[in-house]
Amino acid sequence: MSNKQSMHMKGYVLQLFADRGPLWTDAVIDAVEAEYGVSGPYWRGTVRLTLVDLYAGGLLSEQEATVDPERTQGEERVLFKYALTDFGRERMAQSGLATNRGGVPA
Amino acid sequence: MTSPTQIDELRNEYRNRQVRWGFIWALTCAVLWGAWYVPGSVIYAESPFVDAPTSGGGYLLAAVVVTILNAVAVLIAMAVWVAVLGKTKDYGRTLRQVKISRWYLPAGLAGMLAIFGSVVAIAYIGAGFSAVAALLYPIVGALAARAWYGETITKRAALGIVVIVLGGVVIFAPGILGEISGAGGGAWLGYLGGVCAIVGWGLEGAIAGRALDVSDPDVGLTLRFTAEVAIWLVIVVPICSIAAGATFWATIGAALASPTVLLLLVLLGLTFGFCYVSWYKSFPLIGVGRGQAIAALYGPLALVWLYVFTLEPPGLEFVIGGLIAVIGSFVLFTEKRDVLEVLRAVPARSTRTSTSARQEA
Repeated sequence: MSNKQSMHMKGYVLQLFADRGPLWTDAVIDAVEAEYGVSGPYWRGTVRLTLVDLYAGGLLSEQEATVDPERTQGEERVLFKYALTDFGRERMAQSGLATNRGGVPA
Repeated sequence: MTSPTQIDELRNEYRNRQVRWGFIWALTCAVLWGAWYVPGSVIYAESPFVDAPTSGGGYLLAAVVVTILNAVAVLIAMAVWVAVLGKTKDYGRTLRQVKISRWYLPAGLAGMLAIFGSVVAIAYIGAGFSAVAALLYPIVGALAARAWYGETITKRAALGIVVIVLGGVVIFAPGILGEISGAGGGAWLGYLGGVCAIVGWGLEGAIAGRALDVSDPDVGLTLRFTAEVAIWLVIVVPICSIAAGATFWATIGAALASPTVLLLLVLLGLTFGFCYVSWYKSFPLIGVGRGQAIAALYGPLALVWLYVFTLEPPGLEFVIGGLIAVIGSFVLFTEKRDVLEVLRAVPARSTRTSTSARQEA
């Protein structure tokens, strides 16, 4: 079941990490594009920026980095594997994102 | 195939860009905030505000009307901005997440008090005093963000913040002495306004920094101005309507009927709106303390903007104070990048463990 009618994008991204564990940038982009029916360089950039915000704020931690043009539309771009931190879980609990679930598919 | 060394280089370049953009946003905020002082000052020279009586609360009423119209202009600018970015639906979704969106109410209240306090300080004491008072806000913001949610403020960052504030004080100090000694009977209102600006903007940054953890900066800022406009309309406008009666509505009517005032409102909305957007975008990237300190460069930049439009050259204290403030910003900008990458002093569950190269391209 989709929760696109109720969850904002940043909240959805956090819920993805809570449900699926560590994820690569391109997997998060694919999930967001499918959930919200968006696509193209602008939205890929928006998701990447969201991940940067969450990483800088300490809600996500960086686990790995790689370069794979096949996964980044032929461009030589860094892909990161992020995981939710304990602080990220704490902030999700405080802001209702841990309990207000729309059923992010596992 | 990309080697692990190349991946590390690309990774470091990416993180450097992340921090650089944080500073670019904060500096953009300073440039636009400084520019806001041009329409923000000129509007008082236009009817109906130029005719406001200097006694009996006339200035206060003018300040209320200017601040209300400024907030509405910014909210309109932000609604257009969010629509252009394709985030209007995300605005609605975030608004419905009450445990998140409710934080923009105190942020809006604190910001509203800061803007209004700043305007009152200009009216009752002078622009120089108002500007310096507001320049002290990064100290409140940095301390609140550190005490509340452990934002990393190194000794170097603290030094940079203090140097920037000192630069601002040097610029305005000679003018302040004259303003304070020449202040009239309502001066206490001006000082109170100055305190509101320091505490209001400092706390707004700290509260916004918390809410931006879990919401988008463009959407978050629009929610914050929605809250501010709601507070004005639901609480302050009825009070003013009772207290000032027909004068209040006549002032608003005359302002909205003036094409010059409407043009100035557009300029106020654009400069203040996008200065705020840049402010909010810098917080998640470099932290509230650093973002606010770089944005405090609006002091020297406001004088540059006013010089461009009035051709009245600023004095020697501007050159000295401006240089001190720029040195302070360099102290912040040249801080070690690994300190800036992750801004919170939180124990990470897991840290970066490896850099992997795809072996089969």
